[in-house]
Amino acid sequence: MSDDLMRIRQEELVVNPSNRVPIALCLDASGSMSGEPMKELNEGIRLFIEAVRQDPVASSSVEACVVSFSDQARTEQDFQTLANVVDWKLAATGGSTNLGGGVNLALDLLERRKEEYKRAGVDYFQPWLVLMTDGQPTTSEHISAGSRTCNMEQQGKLVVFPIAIGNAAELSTLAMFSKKNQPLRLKGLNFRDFFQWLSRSVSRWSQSRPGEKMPLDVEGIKGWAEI
Amino acid sequence: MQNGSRLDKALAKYVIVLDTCFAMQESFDAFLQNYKPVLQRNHVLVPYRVVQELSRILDLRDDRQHVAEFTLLLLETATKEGTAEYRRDPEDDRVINDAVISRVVEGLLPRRDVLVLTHDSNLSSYLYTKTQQQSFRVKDLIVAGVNSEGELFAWGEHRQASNGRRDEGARMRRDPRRRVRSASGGPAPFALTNKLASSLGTPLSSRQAVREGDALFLKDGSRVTLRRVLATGGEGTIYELDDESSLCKVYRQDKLTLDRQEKIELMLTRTVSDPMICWPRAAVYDSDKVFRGFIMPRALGKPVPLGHSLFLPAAFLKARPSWTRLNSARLAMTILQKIKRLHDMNVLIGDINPQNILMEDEKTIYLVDCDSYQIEGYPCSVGTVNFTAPEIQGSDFRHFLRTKEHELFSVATLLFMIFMPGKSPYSHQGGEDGVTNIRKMHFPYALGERRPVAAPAGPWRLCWSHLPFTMKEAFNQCFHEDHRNEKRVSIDRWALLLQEYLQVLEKRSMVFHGPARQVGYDLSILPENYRRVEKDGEIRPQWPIDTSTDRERMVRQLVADANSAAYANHAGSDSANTAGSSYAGTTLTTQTRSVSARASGWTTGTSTPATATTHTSPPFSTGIASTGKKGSSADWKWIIGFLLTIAVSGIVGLVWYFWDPIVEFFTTLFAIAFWAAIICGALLLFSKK
Repeated sequence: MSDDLMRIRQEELVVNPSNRVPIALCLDASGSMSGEPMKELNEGIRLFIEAVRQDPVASSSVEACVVSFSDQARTEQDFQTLANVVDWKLAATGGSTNLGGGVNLALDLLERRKEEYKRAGVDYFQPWLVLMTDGQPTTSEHISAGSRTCNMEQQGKLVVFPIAIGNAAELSTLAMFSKKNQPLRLKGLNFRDFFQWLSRSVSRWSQSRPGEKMPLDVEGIKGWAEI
Repeated sequence: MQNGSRLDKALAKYVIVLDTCFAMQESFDAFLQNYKPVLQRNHVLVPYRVVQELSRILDLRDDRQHVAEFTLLLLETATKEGTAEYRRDPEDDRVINDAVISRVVEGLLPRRDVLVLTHDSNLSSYLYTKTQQQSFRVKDLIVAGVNSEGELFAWGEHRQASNGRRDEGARMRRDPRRRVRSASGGPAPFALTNKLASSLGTPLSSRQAVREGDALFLKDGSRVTLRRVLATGGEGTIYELDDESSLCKVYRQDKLTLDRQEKIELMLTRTVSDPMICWPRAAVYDSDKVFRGFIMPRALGKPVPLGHSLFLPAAFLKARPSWTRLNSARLAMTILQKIKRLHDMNVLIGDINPQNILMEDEKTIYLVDCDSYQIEGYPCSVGTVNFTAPEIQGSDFRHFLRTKEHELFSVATLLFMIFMPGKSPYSHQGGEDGVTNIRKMHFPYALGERRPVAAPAGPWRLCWSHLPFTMKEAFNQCFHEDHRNEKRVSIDRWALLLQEYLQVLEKRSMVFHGPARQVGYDLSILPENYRRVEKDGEIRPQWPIDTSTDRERMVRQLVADANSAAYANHAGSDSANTAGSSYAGTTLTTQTRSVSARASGWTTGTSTPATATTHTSPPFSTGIASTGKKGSSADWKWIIGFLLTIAVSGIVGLVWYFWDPIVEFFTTLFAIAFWAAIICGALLLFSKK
């Protein structure tokens, strides 16, 4: 990471000492996502950023990172408060679906960011991992990644949302990533509604009291998921 | 007159306790004359507090001054004539105002019949309620006043007190800002008890569902119509009313219990006229006469909970860029005053947290959720982890009566979070649990000689340094594990400390605003530099040579730590730890010994311009203390080397001595010097590396 970027990241922690809500978006960029799906996904992300920016509390608290995976896992954007983010544009790079690699990379970035929080004395809420894929994983790395997320979930250190896009994605594979949350299938390509729900949930989360149990907006989930 | 003879009997036999407002009645003189023979045989007890009150009124020099003067005179005469007697109890001095009278009466009631002479309707109703509630047998209690002829009459349940406070409906329409004071000061305090109310958990069955547009009724039968829903919570719903200055909270049917009703009705026996405390004003019932909720005053304007405003400093400063440390200090004072008012009534808030305190500005705050307060045997059934004292973490608050000490922990936490905007004293929520940290009582901030210990680093240290030492000490007293079982700082002491802080902050010469390099308190709530003080003509801690702010240097340190952590490949490994500790223990640049400075530089691998310390004691000593580890190991090498040299050359010398005594003496000396040089040289090279 360039020196400037690193400095900005650390500065953010010092200048804005509010409690953080770290969100990791782990998104499928394989060949099958190219065209319409990727367009909708990008639009959804843009709406998410907009919505969070407009909430004064969430805009100081929410930090998002974006990891894309096709053949390889790639860091599109490391953890950063959304106020500073330049618009993201994911591109479908074609190729296979290295789901496990994507998750592992996202978790690594999360761990690193948590260390940075601890060094700077910044508190953070339970992180979220949003996992979206439209196909089957082509490597077997997802098994170890799945056990990693389940362990963290069990220790109360992570909240996982496995989302299936389209009909080719198997819910059973996604179920490996979370014991507490059932994997859900997105209604068509309804990324917008999903990201709107995400931004609202995240806003509420950032305003909650430490130790408070925030129930998820289950009603809102029906807006974008096929139940 | 039946009443009259009962009173006559009381005058002759009962213990007579006098209250200040009775004594200040115009006809008090006549009263004393009328009943003189009876009173000479059974004199009136005058609690010493009454005399103190009268003296206080005298000193105030307001329109009641002359009445007070005259009353004191009357009492003097009465004691001489044997109709009255002063009574002083050392206990009384610790309690305020009305509490003395009620305490005296409560102390007497189990054994004696009591006649209380008062014109305070609050006290009267309080005492009657108490006797009705008593679970043990009490003797008779009569509360009496005097009419304009100097004749005694008994107050009944429905008295028309001279400072009448009946008619809940009328009160609702009155301007809530008009202060209604009883003759002797604030509302009568509640009783102190450590027994839980027996009605806890007993459900009330209500047949009717209540919705917008429905009507509920007050005790006297008048209607209130529920308008728009303002908010819904776990306990119930809050509705707007036609009266814009009030709101109505209606409990959920499954949360409706007898203890809630009793608590509200108990709260209604006292008037809290402060509009900033949303105290219940009336209870509401449905048409089946079942208790459903209560009416409370509404906060004016659009105040925001502290948790969404000041405690989110970055966003808060964007909305209110002119908010300074001075505003925060004044805000703290306002909140403290409100809390004190409640404590004087023997009410504990219980769940002090940033969502229950709404802020409009530094002088205008609102305390909401008042029905959750702990009063007498009715507990506060909720709590917030961060504000709960370590010794009661994990308790079941529904069946638990808190103490003042527990409350003082919450108060201290709240004050801490005001000055360290939004930061709780034991950090870490999210992944790590706050409960463990609180139980451990790991309070990481620097105090005097003690260095900050491990995390958290960051901007909080800058904030901490801009607090005066007395306040840091007070926070330390409340939070640090060294003071685990000691008494916490009281509200009065906090008020004193805040007052001192305010005085300092209001002095132009002691404060400045912004990142400029100045000595004194930075008025910004997120300062960029540690506080500097001037001591013996020098500025401590010293300003570094470059022009960067402490905040910038902190960022650089964090970047360096992040990079070295990446280097070490695992965040939890050696380098990160040493990086952390060297950050925690960094020293000043120019004044420390070169060995220490170089030692710390060696650990991190970068030439870190040392960040300043956060307190004002002489930097030299801290420099040595903090890099203790590296420094002392170098010293040891010197000592060992020296001893080794002597030993080796001694052995060499002895060996040669036996062989050739004369010449070998000089050779021995040479050998010693030679070996000493080699060994010391080697050690020097080794430690310099």
